[in-house]
Amino acid sequence: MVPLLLGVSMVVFVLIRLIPGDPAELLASQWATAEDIALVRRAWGLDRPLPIQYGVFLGNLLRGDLGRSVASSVPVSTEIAARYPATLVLAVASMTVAIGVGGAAGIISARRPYSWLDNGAMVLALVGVSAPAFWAGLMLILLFSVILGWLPASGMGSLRHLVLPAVTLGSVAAGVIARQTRSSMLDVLSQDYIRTARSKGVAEAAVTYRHALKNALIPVVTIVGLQFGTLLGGSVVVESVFAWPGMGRLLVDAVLVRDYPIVQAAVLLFAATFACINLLVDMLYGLLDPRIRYE
Amino acid sequence: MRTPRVAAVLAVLTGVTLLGFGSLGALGAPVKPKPGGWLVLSLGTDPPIFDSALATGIPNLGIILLVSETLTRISPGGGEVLPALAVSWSVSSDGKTWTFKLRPGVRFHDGTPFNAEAVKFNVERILDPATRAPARPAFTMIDRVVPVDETTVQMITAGPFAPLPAQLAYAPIAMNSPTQVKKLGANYFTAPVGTGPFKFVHHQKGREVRLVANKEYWGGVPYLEGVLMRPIPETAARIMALEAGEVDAVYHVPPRDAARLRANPKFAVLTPPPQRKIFIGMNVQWGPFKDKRVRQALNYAVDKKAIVDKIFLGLAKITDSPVPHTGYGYFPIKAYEYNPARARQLLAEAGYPNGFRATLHYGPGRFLLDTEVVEAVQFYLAAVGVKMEIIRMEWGAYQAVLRKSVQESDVQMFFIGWGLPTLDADLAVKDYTEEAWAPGGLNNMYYARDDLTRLILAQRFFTDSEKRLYALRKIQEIIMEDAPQIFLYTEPQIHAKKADVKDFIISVTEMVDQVHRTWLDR
Repeated sequence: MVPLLLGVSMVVFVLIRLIPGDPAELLASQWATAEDIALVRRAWGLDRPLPIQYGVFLGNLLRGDLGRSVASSVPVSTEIAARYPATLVLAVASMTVAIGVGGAAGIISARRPYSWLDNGAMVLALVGVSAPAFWAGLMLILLFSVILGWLPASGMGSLRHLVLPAVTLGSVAAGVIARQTRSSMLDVLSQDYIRTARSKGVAEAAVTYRHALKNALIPVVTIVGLQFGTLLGGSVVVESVFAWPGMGRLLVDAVLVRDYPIVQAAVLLFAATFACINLLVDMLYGLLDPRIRYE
Repeated sequence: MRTPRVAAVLAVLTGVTLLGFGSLGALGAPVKPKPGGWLVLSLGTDPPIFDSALATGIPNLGIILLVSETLTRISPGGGEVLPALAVSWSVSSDGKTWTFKLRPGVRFHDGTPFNAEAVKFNVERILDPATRAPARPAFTMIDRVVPVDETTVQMITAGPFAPLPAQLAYAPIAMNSPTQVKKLGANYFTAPVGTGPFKFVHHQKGREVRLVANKEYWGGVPYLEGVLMRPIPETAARIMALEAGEVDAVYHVPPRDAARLRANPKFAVLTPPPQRKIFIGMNVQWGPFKDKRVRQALNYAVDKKAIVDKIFLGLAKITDSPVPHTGYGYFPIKAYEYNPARARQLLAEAGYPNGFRATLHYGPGRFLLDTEVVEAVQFYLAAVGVKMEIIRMEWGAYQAVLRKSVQESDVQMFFIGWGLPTLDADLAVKDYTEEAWAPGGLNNMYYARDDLTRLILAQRFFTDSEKRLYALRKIQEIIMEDAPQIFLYTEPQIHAKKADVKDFIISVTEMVDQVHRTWLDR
């Protein structure tokens, strides 16, 4: 994991500086002269050679110092500490929605393939995957907040605030999970040992949930792990629409003004989160299928 | 202290509201403000940091000004500098020593007296490069600050600078408690202390700013219990939050939504006077734009009235001077009328009877309905034979393209807006000099002429307002005649509120104003 994060830090460090424009220019006031801009560059160390800037960044990082935001002068750690939990809460809630809805739809579809229930669920899954989160979010606000007045339109606070953003963000992953669960279940349900179980008189529910589901879960869990990455990425749009005070919005704003310290820290944290999730997924494999062992 | 224009707008809005509720009898009767309640306000952005010296961005800074106040303020309708923490000022005959009389008996929220020493501390703080204040260049004309006595302070400028009182209304130089700044140092933003009508409670980034009424406010106890500011970046979501009843007032409403909200008696649309000039700059050192006739032709070719009426539903104002009509020193010079025949004739005289090709750079999404406007201009120019190729860029990359010297620049035309936060003509015209050519300033037209430069420098020296206004008028005439830009319009300010929010003012500076007088009729 350490080499991975080191690699990510280096790539982000270079990429964000390759984009034209720098924070000293972008944050300059109407009165700023060329000297004023040079002064800002010097103050933030942006006039030094790239390898030295990277060395300083890495050295500070190892001491746990992420620096200060160029745009706001607020310590990067303060900015991130305020927002990371919000993104994590949203991601976990969305994943819960996605697994709950997507998993259930997938199982129902697989048990009655090509029935109207299956077709209906798969059309919904397609809508979930295809509808842009941006549009879907606004439509949900219009319906549930403006017209019906059931749920808050935006912001963070009670559990009710979480519903619309979690459904919006979770719907994409739900669609993907539903389709994967269905095909994986169909695959397993046609195996010989399922026929054996049925012929020896095991109840259909037990066949589905004890024999089939557990074995069908391996590819689903893989997809869930990968979808977590999509979720973190998708949070950028959903956080904007619902004014959710998370990392996505912070990262976009930081990229727009080339706030290098924030971009570096945020991407690094996203990468670390994604790596941790996939480590968890690998460990889950072992639990689901005892034949998988890690030496 | 409200200007008649704003008062009139408010009176009309109040009237409309009352009509909406059918209580005609209340018209004309003085309404007694009701105390209490929280005002929930939504902006598209959040103050990056709750410290006037370090924050950037309008209208964010307006939220910070509820806590920390400036020495002077701009009248909500523009054009006038009014007293705030300073009650009066005068300037020496050489124009370099300004004496400000401060409001006596004012204290910061932490009890620290507001006095000449506090002014000195705050000015020196923003000028200290170690503070890294983004707006420092706006105040570097101040050489030093000398406290004379408790309520008298002098500012000595390097050269005469007539617009200094307007400059001091600019939010970043608001007064913060020296005691608190010294105590918290780099963490001052976590507990800022000012003299304003509201006291800081907390700022949860991206979530909310919470401010509570200052019962000891020198301007009178606020009617509101407090102010809550919730940033909602997405415009459609922000307006829906207003419609769902979650917020009381929202910033930046697109014209079409404004028309819809206006039809609903529960809401009122605010269109305060604007100050941001939108234009298309022409690089006068490039090809056809070297010829003044070509630049004038392009001005005649564009139907500004159609753009204002169709795209902005009549809410924008056509440009007739490089200074917005709300700025001090503005004179209506002339608007280039829509006259494609004249445009073709001028192009032919300049040697381009069949037009030419040119590129236009811009960064979409920054200004209200910018893409619609750029495409309309493209259509009008094509009609006189000028084929304009639009190059869209992300804002940061676009800025990098603009920050180039005339030798390196490949910009031919560019779409941009210039704001005028001090509402003084000086800021609107200061970039029409060679010294301000990019990258040293914002002059990407690379336009300058000696007589104009001399006038621009001279007007700062004239503390005699008549002489100064004369110079400013000449400046505006020269620029309009030379046409280094396609002059378009002043970008409208369109905001909305619930009808029961009373005496709520958004100033020409785009910031909330006199919020201690705002009240809720519920």
